[in-house]
Amino acid sequence: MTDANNRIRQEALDWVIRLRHADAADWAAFDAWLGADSAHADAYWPLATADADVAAALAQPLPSAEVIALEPVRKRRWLAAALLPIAASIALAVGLWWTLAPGAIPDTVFETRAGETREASLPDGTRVALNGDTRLVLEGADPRRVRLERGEARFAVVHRADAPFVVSVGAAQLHDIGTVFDVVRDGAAVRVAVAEGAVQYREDATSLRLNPGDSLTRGANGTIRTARIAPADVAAWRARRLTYDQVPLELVAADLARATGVPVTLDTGLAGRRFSGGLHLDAPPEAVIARAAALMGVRARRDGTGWRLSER
Amino acid sequence: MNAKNAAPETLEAVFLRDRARLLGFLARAGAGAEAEDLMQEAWLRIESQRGREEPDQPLSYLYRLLHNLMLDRRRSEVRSARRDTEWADISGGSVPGTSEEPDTDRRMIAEEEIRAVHAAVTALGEPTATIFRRHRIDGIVQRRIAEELGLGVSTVEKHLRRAYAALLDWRSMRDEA
Repeated sequence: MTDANNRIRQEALDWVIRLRHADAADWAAFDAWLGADSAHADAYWPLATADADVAAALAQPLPSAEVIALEPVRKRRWLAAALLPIAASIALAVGLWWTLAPGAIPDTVFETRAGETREASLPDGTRVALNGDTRLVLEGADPRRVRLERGEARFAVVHRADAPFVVSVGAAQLHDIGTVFDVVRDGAAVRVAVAEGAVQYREDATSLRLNPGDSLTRGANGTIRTARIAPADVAAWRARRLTYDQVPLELVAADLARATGVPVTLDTGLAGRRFSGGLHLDAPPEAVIARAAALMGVRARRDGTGWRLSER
Repeated sequence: MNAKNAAPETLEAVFLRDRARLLGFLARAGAGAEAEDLMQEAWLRIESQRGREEPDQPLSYLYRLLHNLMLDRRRSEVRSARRDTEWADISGGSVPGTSEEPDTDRRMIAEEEIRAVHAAVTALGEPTATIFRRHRIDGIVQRRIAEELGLGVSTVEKHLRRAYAALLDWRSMRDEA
């Protein structure tokens, strides 16, 4: 940048500040400055636009979902096998740690407690958001392979044609095709929903392509069902709400437990019942669960530290 | 600087009297062919406020009105050219011709932008971050901020310049990325 450009930029910046509390004389001076050189307006407007954007964002409250910088739980395979299961929680940025890791790269583990949500960037730039009570493992050597051991994660994948992003979830693998998608794992049960792009679901001989608005539920017994979901409702838990269209109550109960941090179980009589509707999570757990029960038409009662849903 | 306003004139009277000067301001600000259109828009705003309390300084009010109308247009042009950072979408300020309901990914970016801006301000350190927020968000004049924090006005000004320079650099770098 030349000295003249630099000076003009400084002056433009001064005007952005000064015009915040300008009287008529200030405005006349600003007008004269603009008139002195057409480069002045060219320098001023981008700064004024950036200033307005910054102010608009600052005027917004921070989004309601609590987001804490991820502290990966580092776990060394050889250490775990040979010595003792140290799963020390070490506050280290993933990227930093990646470059420092010598030789064979051990797995990196991300964990959240129930009721807690977290977001992070993976080394390849993929954004991941973790719902409560979730455990996600980055497989050491390959930054494009992750394993969802339990819970729910939403991925916004940086697509690379030469290196598909693969999520292992139980017996299945999900291959992204440039994608935003959400995955839930509850034991052997899996639910996938796609907001953008596409995901290839693979399990043994099964291979299904899921497009935006498609969701897939794999029951604990291996049965696979597909359904539709509004793309805007994929990973709605990130905005502290849950949306369902004909979803078994077992899965709703599991979602509530993940989101509130309180165990929610189901009477066997309710097994197989389905729910359609939207739930908000911005309230204390007992209020969230009471409202959800009312909407689902079931009764919620205390059960030890948690809640049990039963026929009303 | 501050003319004493014994009996403030109405916005309409000042607008009509200083029309040429205001139109010239828009031209010098680079409004080009849009200048007349912006004047018309300003006039409609003024008419819609008839009967309300008149501002103390009608001329500076009019300058600001035109300035902000021009800024709004520029911002919505930039926004439609930059689909993926539509942070205004979730504030309810809808832009004509775009969808009301942001899709999931746009929404995520919007949330991220909000977080990122808050974080960028915090990263300025203190007292710079507080001075910036008081000035830009709370609309407090530099002299008052200086009194509140027990600092000299020139110190406050120095912090403000540093804050604006850093944030605006940061913001335009994100746009280019």
